[in-house]
This record gives sequence, structure tokens and C-alpha cells, in this order.
Amino acid sequence: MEFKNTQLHQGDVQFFGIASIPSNAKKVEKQFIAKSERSGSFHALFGDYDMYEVEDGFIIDAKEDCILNHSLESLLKGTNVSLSEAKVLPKKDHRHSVIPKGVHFVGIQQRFDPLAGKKERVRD
Amino acid sequence: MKTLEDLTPEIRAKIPLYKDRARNDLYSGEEYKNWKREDCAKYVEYVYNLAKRDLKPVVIIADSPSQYKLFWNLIFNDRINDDTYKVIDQILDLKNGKKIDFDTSLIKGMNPQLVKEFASELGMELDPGQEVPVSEKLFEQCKQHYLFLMSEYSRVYLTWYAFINREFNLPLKKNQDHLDWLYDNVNKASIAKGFFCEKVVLILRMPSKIIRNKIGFHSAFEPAIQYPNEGMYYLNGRKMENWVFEDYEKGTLTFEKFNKEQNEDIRAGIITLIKEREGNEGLIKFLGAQVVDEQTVVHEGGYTETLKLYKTKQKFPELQNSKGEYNQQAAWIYMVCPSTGQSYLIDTCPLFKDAVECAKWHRPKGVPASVPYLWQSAN
Repeated sequence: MEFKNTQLHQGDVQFFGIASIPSNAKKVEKQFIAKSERSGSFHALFGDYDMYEVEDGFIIDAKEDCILNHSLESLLKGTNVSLSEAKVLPKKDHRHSVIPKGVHFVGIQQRFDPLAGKKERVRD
Repeated sequence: MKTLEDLTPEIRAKIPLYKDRARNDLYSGEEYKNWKREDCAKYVEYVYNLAKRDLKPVVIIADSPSQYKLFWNLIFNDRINDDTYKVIDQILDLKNGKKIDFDTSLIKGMNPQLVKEFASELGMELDPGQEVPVSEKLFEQCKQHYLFLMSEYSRVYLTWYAFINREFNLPLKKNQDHLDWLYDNVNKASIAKGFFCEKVVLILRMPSKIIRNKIGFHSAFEPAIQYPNEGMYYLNGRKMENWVFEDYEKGTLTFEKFNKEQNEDIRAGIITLIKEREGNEGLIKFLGAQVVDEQTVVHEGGYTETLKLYKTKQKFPELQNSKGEYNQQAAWIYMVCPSTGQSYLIDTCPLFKDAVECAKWHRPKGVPASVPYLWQSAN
């Protein structure tokens, strides 16, 4: 991946601008980028975009400026808002972010487990 | 013949349902709450019948591990057992249809908890009178029984047998009804361990609550395996000695004690305990860590972020660096979430000396260090 100098983060979800969609990216249905089983919260992108899966995260091909929301699943269910609508939802903890039109790699921040000697995704 | 190719996604999707059936009520305590002695005794008798034993055994059920140990010694320890086996012989006869007069004088002075079990087997009230305590010395000298002839994993095997039998449509040529009965009633029986003998069976009931994480038994707040009046502490699947939790609660779990402890599992457990109870801030305080680098990054739009790298002075044999080398310092990167103001201390590799380089290293896998640490938007 060729990284460009566009970087945004919402908590532990981090977006990095890239030049193009990697050849190994597999197109998938739009879905939550991250979800907390414990709190019922999620990070998800809302708007006109295509989503692809890669080994360490997702590729987002945003056709317009999209909205990254951190909200609660229970709240989303009550709104009837779909992932295809660039709408701001009531926040859980983190403010919404505007993800600019373009191609982005998105992944989760990592922590180091000194007892295991390896990195793993941050969990909340 | 069935092969792994017959394990379709539809069948595979049913595995969690079998697991849930085996575990959910057990872990939550519902199984303990709904348990009936007769279901458990009936299960044991069914198994003895299946094994073509002529006699229904005397079933003694312990409610907790300590009661199990007590009962085991009262029944099987030669130094202590005096009249116990005579009582068992009589109950055995009565359970199996012999007409005898039960000699109640035999139970006089016996342990009342054991007598209660005898009474349940006889279906009558028994009064042991004043208990004659067994001397501590005899218990000290007694043999310790730790080999169980049946364990809680019996349910695991039975669940897999039932899954294969039912989902792969592989009916047994014989004994299908027995497999069905055993599987259908195993949760109700709720047996953790069993010591099976010709005339008597000693059973330990399943715990009243079990707490796990994805690794194994785990709770930093209460015993991970609980019985009504006792419990066993575990952290990340490792058994913890009671003193670790007791000292923590009393405020006497000191760094000096931690340092003197030689067992790596216990040391790792102490770190986990403090971290889960007090967060990384508590752990930094406990371990005496200090800031080794601090840098302020000005991101786009003027947002500034202060990054701090903490390390302990001391090295700990159980801690590794990112190269897998043991005996390392504990290290953390300090970050503040711009949106919530929440401070985070994220465990990091102790090899770092530069806080910004360290922060880069924590970005998602696949982002190279050559990409500068500079946010256009941070929420």
C-alpha cells in the first residue's frame, strides 16, 4: 500500500489515506468497523462508499465525504439510518469524524502484551 | 462412513448451541440453583445399571470440594473410618430390597453432614446426636485422594458424542436410548467429580458459579470457581493462591512481597490483578515506574498531543520485549483521547526510547514507521 499523508482517528479506529485499492482487497458488505461486545458500542462509516477486506483491516473507497460515528447499536436500531446515509448519530464516547472522499486503509490501534511478547488489537 | 467433508457450514453452526447447552446454566449458577439430589443419584444408579452392576450403590454427594475431602476421609480413610462402612453396607442392603432393621446406633456421634447424606439415601430422618469430632491429627495423617474417576470433562465428551450422533445422523446400532438419556440428563445430574466404588459412590457437585475469559477461568474481583461457602481464584486460567487476593483486599500486597515471589504465574497474576482493579496507573504506582521520554506533537489544525513513555527501573523475569526476550522492564505509552479526555496507558515494548516512535508502532498493523505521526483529525 502506498500511504498518503491523510490520517484520522476516532479512538482506536485509525484511517490512513492510500493511493489505490490494493489488488488483494476483497469487496465485502458494509459493516461495522469495530464493535464492543461489552458496551454495545460501534465505530461505523456512514455514506456512499465501498468496503473491502484486507488482512489487517478494511479498505474504504469513499465516493463522497462520509461520517464515522461512534454510537450505540441500540440507538442505531431506533433511527432506521443505514450505513449508506452520511448522517451523524448521537455519540457514545467519541465525536463523529468526517472521512474525506478517497481511498483509505482503516485498522485498529495495537497494544503490546508483555506477558505474551506480542502485539494485538486494542479491545474495549 | 462420515468424513470431515460432511461437516457442512450448517452443522458447524450448531456447535455453539451444544456448547451453550453444556455451559451457560452451569456458569451462571442456574444449574446449581435448580439441582435436585434425586436427579443426581438417579444418574449414578443409571450408569451402574448400564455397567451391569447388580446393586444400586450408596450415593454420597458433597456440596463443595472441602466437604468432598471430608467425606472421602470419613468413608475411605482407614484411620478414621470405623462404623461408616457398616452403615454403608446396611444402606446398600436396604436400597437393594433386603429387609433389615437399620441400626441407628451406628450413626451416633458421626459427622452430621455425612449422616444427612445417609438419611437422603434411606429416605428417612436420622439424628446423629452430638458429633464426636475426629482429631485433627488423624486428618493430618490421612491419605489425600486426588485422583477422580470421573471429572467435569465427562460432560464435554458426552456433548461431542451427542453432537456427532445427532447432527451427522449416525444412530447407534445399540444403546441409542442410553446415549440419549445420559445426554438429556447430564446437566440435571450436575456432577463435577465422582469416585466410584462397588458399594458407594462419592460425588462432588458442580460449582455454583464459574467466571471465565477467553483464556480460561478468570476473575480479578471474586473467585472464578465458586461454591456457596468457598471458592478458587484464577487469573487468565492460572490458579492463584488465596493470599494474593486476601493481601490485595487487606492492602498488604506490597512490591516487596511481589519481588520475593518466585512463581512466575503468581507474579503475572499479581500484575493482572492490580491492572484490572486499578488500571495501568495503579500498576505504574505499584511497580515504581517513571517517565523516560515526553514529547508534544502539534497535529494539523493546531491540536497538540503530549506523549509520555514510562518504564520501570526494575526488570521482571516474566515480562518480554517484542523480540521475545524475557527479563524486561515494564513499559507504557501515555496518550490522551482528544474527544473524551480519557488518559490511556497502553502497554508497550520496553525497547523504545522515543515516545513518538513508540506511538507510531502502536498504529494498526500494516502502517509503516515511515508514515509520520500526524493526525488531520482526532476524535
